[in-house]
Amino acid sequence: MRIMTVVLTLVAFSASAQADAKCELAKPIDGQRLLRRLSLDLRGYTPSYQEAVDQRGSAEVSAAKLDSYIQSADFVGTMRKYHEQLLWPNLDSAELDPLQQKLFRVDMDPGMGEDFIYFSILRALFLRSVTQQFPICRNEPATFDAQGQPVMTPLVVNGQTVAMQEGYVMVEPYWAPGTQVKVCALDAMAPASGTGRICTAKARMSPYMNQTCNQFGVYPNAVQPPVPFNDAPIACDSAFAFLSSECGCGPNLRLCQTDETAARLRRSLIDQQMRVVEDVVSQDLPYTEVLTRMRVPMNGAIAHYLRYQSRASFELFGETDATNPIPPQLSYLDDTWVNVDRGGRHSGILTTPGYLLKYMSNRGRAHRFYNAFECSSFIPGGPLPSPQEACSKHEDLTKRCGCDACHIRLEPMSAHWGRFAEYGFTPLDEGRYPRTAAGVCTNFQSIDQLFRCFRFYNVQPVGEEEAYRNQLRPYVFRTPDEVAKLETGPRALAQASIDSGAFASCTTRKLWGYYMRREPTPDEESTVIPTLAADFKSGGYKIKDLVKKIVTQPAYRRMP
Amino acid sequence: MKRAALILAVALAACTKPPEMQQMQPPPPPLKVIANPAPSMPDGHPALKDLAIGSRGPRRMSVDQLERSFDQIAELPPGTVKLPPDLALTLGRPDYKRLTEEQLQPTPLFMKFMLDLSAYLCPLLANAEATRPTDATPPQTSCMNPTSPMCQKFFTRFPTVDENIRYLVLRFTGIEGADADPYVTRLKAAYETGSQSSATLSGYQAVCASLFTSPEFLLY
Amino acid sequence: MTFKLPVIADRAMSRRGLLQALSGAAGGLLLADFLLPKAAFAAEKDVKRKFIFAYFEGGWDQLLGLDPRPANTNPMTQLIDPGYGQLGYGMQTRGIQRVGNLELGPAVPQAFIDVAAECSIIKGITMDTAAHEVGRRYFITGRFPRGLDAVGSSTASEILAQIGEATPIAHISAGVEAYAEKMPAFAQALNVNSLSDLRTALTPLVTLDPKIKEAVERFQDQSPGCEGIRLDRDGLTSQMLESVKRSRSYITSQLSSVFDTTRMDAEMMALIQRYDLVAAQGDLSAPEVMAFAAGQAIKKGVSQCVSFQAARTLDTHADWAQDHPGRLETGFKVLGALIADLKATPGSMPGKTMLDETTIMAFSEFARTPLFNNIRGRDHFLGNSVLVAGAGLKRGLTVGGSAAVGQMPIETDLTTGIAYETPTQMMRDSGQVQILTPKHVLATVLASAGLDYAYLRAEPIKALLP
Repeated sequence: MRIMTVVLTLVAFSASAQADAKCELAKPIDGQRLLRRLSLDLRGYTPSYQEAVDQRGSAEVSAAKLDSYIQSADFVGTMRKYHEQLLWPNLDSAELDPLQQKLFRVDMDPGMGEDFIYFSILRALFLRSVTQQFPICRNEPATFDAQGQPVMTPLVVNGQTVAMQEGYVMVEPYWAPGTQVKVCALDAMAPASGTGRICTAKARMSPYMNQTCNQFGVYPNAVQPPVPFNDAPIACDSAFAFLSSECGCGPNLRLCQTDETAARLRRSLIDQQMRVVEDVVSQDLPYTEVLTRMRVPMNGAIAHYLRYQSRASFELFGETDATNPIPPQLSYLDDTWVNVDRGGRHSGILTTPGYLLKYMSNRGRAHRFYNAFECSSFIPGGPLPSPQEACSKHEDLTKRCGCDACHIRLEPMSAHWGRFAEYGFTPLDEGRYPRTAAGVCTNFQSIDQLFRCFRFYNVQPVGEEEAYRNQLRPYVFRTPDEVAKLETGPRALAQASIDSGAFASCTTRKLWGYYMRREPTPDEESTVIPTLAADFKSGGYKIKDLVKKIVTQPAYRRMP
Repeated sequence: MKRAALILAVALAACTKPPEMQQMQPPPPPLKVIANPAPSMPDGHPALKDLAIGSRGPRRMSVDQLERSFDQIAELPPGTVKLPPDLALTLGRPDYKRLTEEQLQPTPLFMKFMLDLSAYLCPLLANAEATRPTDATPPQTSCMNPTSPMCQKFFTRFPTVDENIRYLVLRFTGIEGADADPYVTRLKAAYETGSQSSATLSGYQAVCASLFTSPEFLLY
Repeated sequence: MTFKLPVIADRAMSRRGLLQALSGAAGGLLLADFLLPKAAFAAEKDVKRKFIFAYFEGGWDQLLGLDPRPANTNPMTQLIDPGYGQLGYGMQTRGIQRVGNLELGPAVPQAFIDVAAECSIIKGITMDTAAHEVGRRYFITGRFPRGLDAVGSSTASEILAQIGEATPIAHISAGVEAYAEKMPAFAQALNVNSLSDLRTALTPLVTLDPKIKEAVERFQDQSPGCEGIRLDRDGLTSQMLESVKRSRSYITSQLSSVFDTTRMDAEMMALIQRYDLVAAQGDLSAPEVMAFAAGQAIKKGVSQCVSFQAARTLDTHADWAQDHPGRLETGFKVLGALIADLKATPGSMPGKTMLDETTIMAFSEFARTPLFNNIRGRDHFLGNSVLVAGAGLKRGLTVGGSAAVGQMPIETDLTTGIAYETPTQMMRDSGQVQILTPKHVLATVLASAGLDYAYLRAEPIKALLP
């Protein structure tokens, strides 16, 4: 009976409307409503009253008005939103602010006005703790010994020493120049050399530091000759710096982050991606540049991160990228966006940190490209066969039955990002990361080198991987043809998609769906869409022209 | 006639079987658009009246569009209307983590919040005239409050209630002329009921809230 | 011999009757390939049944939860590395926990162990995807997504379309996607992301002047005009107006007090303790709070189907030991609290509890690789497990299984629930054993209440059905 209710309600709608005598259900949209539709779709808001007054008496929206909408900054804004729905920009899962370099703010006097001290909970555990887990420093100025080290005094609770504490120092933080904040002295350390020594005897006096040094110490001793470890020097901006009691947050706390600086960094990295799109649209550049452009904008937050902080995480690999120069004039607070011309294997948004950190594996990067720019998906061929079958045991996923249907295409696509770190954004240049491990995995000079070897090289191959022993992991199972693509980078994938027409066709189809709010009809599939795509390609991939053609289609102004 | 038809629908609905006896049925198919036959088509071409021609599908305004459109309609500074981010997520703005595409269904939560939002925003619209600067060029706006400095300065003949309602219908929905007549009639009734309240320009607030929560505004 | 596909709508004809109408055992076997599964119409539709779907977001680690392995499993030969040695002392001490025939991993806290006997575990499910959106939408709708797009409606909506509306907000989806394609309005979810969203839906944020409210409601009741009708292609206008009416009913029913954690009465105090709401630290979308909302919605007759996010950010590709166990433990903790709460609440029939009237399914979009990657994390894995509990299902069973080497799903006999590492060819050919998919699980959930599961094109796991 429910359908009867629905039908009768609709009948009631139309009956009552027809009783008002003017409810033609099928007619082209009138001029005012078309203006409204165009304004909402192209600018994101309804027309102004003046625009409505000017529209009176006209069934059409003038070409000049339409052009003004498409040429407006608001149109660029709507294109940005459209691309957000293609790229899914969210970096919440990226460890841009690792715990080792994170400062937390504690109110030492809640309810009595603000008296904050900044401290690192990891350093608290390693350098202050005896039994109390995360002791903060004392809320009084620090004193220093002859060697310039903070003097530690015991914190005694119920007759027991639970922690050793130093005092605070006042520091002008990089995020608020001209002001001073209290920072625990151990956290504020800034050795002039920018280096410290790891797992010194003094550091090991802390039981937690001692335990961690022992855990990490297994690795350097597992190779021959053993890697220098105890007392070895380490750069204070390195991921291993937390093993040193001599490294802190550096001058002006520049090596460390707070929740606020991390949030600003995340926003900036997302903004950077989207600004590439905005630049292409607003400057009327060929839309292909979204995938191939070398120029990207950079602001102070990103510049500061790349200069001082990107090497601090174990997970997120952010070594210095010589092909992505950092404008020297940009300081942290600088929110102007300065254009940077990248080199090497960079290619449009496909190699911006925002893209590489959202899609952390090469397969993920290829998959998103496939969805967003070729309108395609990987669909498995069916349920997995028994794991006992011989073909289920291939390490090579292009051969493993059940997986091969997708991976036979996905693996070569992923290879295009092979020279960019997974779970990171650093290009892996041939000098520092040759194809074979010869230089990297022998004669270890540091624990950092040891970890890079194991992270990037196939030094413990399994089964079929044996033929690729000691090769950089993205090269494993790759054919010579695929190696060529790997060494060109994502640009080769983008160019292949552009040359084949898939890029033009997919862009047309997606924009059609975006403005028409429906899939093309069969008739449109065979006539309108191919024509629009061909024009888009032959016209130099001008996105504004394509949008204009779509919204001037008769279908756009039919109602309903 | 309209009311009788609706009463009939309600009465029939009351005769429905208890929920456990209902069968799920699909809704009626969407309306097909039939074009007028063209004067001449190539030989052998199917008659146009037999073809279904696609039209643009309607959609609900996104959260971002709502925010900006209300600024525009009430002639508030851009960026005045801003939903809290958490609520925007619930109302469909994607965060590209849990929600990867804009959710545009007019759900009960969404419609309930539209009413809440109208209760917050419509007084802003009503009060906006009173604070509009008088040193600007003559505005092309309504005059809902004849005592406001703006109205006093720029209007020699104050618009009638019907004229102001027509203005609001045009601003909110883009409907004008004869097409707007039925709306003006219904909104006039809303104005008269709303005017029984003591709130500032309560009649116009009722018109504003009615339009703000209407499909003619929220869909396009 | 020619076969005629049966008319699905002809519910009077049983499947067995149709098979018997055709001659030849071979014909029957072949026919089984063509026949869509029939609903269990011998069982009566339980229209009073409630359903809870607990979603663990991000891809859970089976080794820590539903499919643990001994700590000394050799990664080199078994291709499984439980990694228990990396866990904190408390979890290491727990190790594998046995409750009757169930084995649970070290991330499962006592709060869940106390109610584990009410549950059953389904192992060896193949997801056919390693993409979050695809796995999640596959489980939500029971149909494999088209690309990334969900196909069809949420299982909760399908259920409600069959059992009808009996509560003010029949379907709540808290922090979980919901889909409704051509569904009646009551079957569509009220989507919320937090408890504050739920309160937003149920209380006026700004009070409209009564006369203005009266004017607006009268205008809405007269809607739409011509333009609105033109915009009703695809039913959008109708849906909007229906939503207006529903949203009014939420307010007039005064449902918000059910979810008001600021109430200082004894009942709420006890609930705060049971669900450990203090641990949420004011985060109204935390698992503890979501589980509380789900429990209240079911117990107080607000909803019939609730989906909620029981755990979040499980997608630990790195630093698994630091991040994953605690988050997974929280998920099981809140699930345990929910089951205990339902068990302690009287049902609508004498001697029954709410747990006897509620079917619960806990799932994640996939599990995680049994071996670690090179940055101390676990990646996406095609195999998976599910936990079910409550009404209509046998309790304390483990059905299905995963391989001893590599933990990939192995074939399961739907009738007995036994999994076979090396089934015979005859077992495969006869359809006696199958690799389990989310379809089988959801068919089981529907069958447990006597509902039609034919649209899933899979048979239920009869081993779990009484």
